[in-house]
Amino acid sequence: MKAKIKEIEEKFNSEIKSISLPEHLEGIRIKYLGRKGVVTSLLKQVSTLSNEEKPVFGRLLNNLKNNISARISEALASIKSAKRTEAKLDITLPGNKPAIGNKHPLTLITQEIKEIFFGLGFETVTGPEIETEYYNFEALNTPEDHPARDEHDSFYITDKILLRTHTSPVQIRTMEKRKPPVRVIAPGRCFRRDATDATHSPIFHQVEGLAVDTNITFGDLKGVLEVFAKQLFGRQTRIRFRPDFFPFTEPSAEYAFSCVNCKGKGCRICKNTGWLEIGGAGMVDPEVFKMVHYDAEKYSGFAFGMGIERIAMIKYHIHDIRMFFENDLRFLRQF
Amino acid sequence: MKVPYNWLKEYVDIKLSIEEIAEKLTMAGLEVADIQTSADGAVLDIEVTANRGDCLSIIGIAREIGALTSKHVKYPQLLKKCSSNKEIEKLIDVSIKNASLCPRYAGRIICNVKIEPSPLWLTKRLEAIGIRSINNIVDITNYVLMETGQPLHAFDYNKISSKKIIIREAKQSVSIFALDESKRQLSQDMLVIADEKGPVAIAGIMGGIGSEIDEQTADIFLESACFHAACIRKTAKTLGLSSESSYRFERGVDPNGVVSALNRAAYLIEKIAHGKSAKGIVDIYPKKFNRQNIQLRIQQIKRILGIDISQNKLKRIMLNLGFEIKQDSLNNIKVLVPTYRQDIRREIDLIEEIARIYGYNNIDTTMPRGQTSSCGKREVEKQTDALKNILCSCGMAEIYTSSFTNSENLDKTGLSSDGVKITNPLGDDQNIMRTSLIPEMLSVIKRNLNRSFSEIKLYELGQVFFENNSSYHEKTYLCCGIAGNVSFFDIKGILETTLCKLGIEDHCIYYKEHKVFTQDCSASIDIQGRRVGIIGEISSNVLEKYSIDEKVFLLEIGFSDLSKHINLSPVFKPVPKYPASERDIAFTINENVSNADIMSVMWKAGGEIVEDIKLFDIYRGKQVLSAHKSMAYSICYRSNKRTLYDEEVNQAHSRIERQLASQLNVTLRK
Repeated sequence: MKAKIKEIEEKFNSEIKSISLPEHLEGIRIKYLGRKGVVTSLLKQVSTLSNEEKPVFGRLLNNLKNNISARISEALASIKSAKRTEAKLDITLPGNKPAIGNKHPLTLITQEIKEIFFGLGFETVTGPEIETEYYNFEALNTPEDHPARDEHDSFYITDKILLRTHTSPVQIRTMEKRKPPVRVIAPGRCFRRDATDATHSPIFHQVEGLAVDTNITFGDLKGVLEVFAKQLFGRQTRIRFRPDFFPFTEPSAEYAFSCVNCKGKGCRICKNTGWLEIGGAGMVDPEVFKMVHYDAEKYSGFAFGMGIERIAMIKYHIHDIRMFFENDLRFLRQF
Repeated sequence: MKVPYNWLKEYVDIKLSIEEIAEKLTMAGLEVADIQTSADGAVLDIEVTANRGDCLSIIGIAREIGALTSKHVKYPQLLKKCSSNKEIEKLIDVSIKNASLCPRYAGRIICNVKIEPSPLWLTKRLEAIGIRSINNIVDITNYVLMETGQPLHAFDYNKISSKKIIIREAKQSVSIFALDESKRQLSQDMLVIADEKGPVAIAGIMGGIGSEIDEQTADIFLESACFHAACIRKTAKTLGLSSESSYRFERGVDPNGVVSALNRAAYLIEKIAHGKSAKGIVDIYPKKFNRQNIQLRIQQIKRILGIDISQNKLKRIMLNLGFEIKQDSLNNIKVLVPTYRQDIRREIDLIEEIARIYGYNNIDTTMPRGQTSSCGKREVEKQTDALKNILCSCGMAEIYTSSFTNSENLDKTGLSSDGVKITNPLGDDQNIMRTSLIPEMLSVIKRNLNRSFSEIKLYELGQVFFENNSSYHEKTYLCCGIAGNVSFFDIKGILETTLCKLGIEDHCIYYKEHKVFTQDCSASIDIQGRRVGIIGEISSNVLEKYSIDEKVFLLEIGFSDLSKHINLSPVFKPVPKYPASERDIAFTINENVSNADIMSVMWKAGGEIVEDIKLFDIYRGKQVLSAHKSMAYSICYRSNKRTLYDEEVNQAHSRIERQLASQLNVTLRK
């Protein structure tokens, strides 16, 4: 019996050395430890031995069984690890990027602006790009002989029809249609007969805002634009108002945000002023209310405008407005 | 407007530094854009808004600084005593034909002037403000114009025919040589200064060469007048001629400042050009302009600005601005506004002045209260956002192109050049409003191909414009264009995915010839039986015109037409409970039979247990007859009520096989 055990052990040792595949290891396990395996059948014979031999050989056989089992597990582990070193994955290889597209930066910024104003209880309204002189100028208290028209060099379709020079006509169209309270923004494309340079384009986009109610004040205008500034450019942003002139607001203001780049210390982007001019605003002029049959004694309101390209240029550090309309994929794919 | 700092300081005491003054002016609405240096010291470059004609002068700016720093303005010296014995009434006869266009006309005659170059201090000041020195008389009129804001003009008295000055409309069409040496054709409604022979000046804009001051001039007629703003603006615009004078008249000149400016100039002419003023002045001023009397209700300040301001502070602001308080009570004050402030006519204008001097930045920031009218994002915005998100997921990059095009561009793509025309375009290449997004899409594709992108996928959602019996229509179009390593089925797939994600099921893409596309690859897109757009491969003909060598596939859809059918709230359908049975079918068929025809036969023949049919292979080659193709489909059978029996699936499947054979003459491959 002892010799038999020794023989089995030697045979196993020599066999296991030559094994390199896990499925062969399984074969060996079955051969020695399976139900009909060599070790298993010897163990079955222990019961036929004498009472003295039983514990001796029982122990020897059990040791053998445990040994073989441990050696097989060991061999399996070493085969697995050997395999791993063979084909180690280079995780620094580039990922398979799904080819998604891009939204135009002007779309992105318009969506962001809109979301902020939605949160402040505004909704969007739109109007035509081909406008009448009435909506573009006259209803906005800018009669034909008004010098303010100098800043609105317009493209004309006929004597009385032109391409809107701002989105303010949408104010009028909105107020004609509904009664206060009104809280709207009007984003859209505008046209001015300006020569193109790094900051001017004959085609550009604006957002106009309007709030009319029984108790709207200039302080509210400041509040709304301040919240807007902080949401768009961060909590540290400050806002500055100063008097300006627009025929359709009184008082009128020009508003600026503290420079996003230098935080107001002065840099190249803000021309060392610490401020970035954003747009015009003010309290709706009573003359405008008259045009839309709102009672200026009962209602007051504010309006503001801003250039979408200007905001996008600040936000994305774009230095030339022409980039927006060149549609170079090297530019577009950055958004 | 350029304001030399030393000149400014003659009229108001300034204790602050130039930077502090610049900041104060800026924050009061007179933006100091720049502080420059000149031979005459620092110069403030101030941007004066269109409503503040009163600030288009050194004294005007001084008044503003006075109001901001509580200082009085020192006005300059005027002519007090005339040194000539001649009487003006005997020397000239002035009449106004239309007083509504010329509310005031004043003049002086100054004799024996000596025309010389101006003294150095004068030329230096004019240079600092941006005016070229001409001679002492012209320089003095310019100097006083800049000092007071009142335009002046000096005529050579001896060149005025019959010594008559008539302010009238040009009557018939005449021409005049203006001082800029150009011949100007005047139309009937333009206001002129005329003598007996004809116009000697275009009123308020520019003098004529015929009555110009020259080296021989001895006696001058000095004009100081007030003309109607809109009339001057219209004439200046029509003639394309503007001057420092017309700029000020357009923005409103104070009729009550006319004579003091005249006397200021006369004083300087006597002093510098050794002239002798004739006694008296011409002053035709039929209807005197009085100060505006405006009532200000105190509670309106709170209502509009949201601030509480003490009555004392309020009064101080008014007085500093040169306004007179006529009457005041707890609730109301009555204010007299000087006539140079023509921008202040109403209570709201006074409220703006209060806000301006109070300081916009001192007004507390609040949020609007009360009910809101908003119902959030509108449906069309949700649709637009969804569309852009889908296209972005499809790998498309969004472009924004010009709304302008031209007939050549439209012609290139076979589009009609009937479009909304711009009468004053920036160039003839931008004179039509686009009627399609295709021409610019192709240009953008071309430009990006030049930058050696191998695969280009672009889209634009933009307005197009149409004219119909002089009424104008705008529509939103969607254009997608792909080029490079792509096929028709890529653009078609993008369309199908987009429509599917927008919840549009009932659509049809069918062969239809379109000019811009190749003959074979050209289709219309219908939704619920109505055409909404086109899709296809751009014809080589068109590509040639754009010098594009790659294949380009493109679609254009009317978004407004699409919008009606979009459904962004999908309705959940329970996931199938019962197993599906799949059967494949393969056959050869004549090339001319389309997938759509085959599908239609299969759907009909299969009956309601057919859940889905997918094409998985097309093969053309040796094993297939010529002019034939081999096609293989996988058909999925399922019921939502129970597990299907093998037998019924087999029956349906053989129905499909039979119908394909009988209707489309296919040869089944077993």
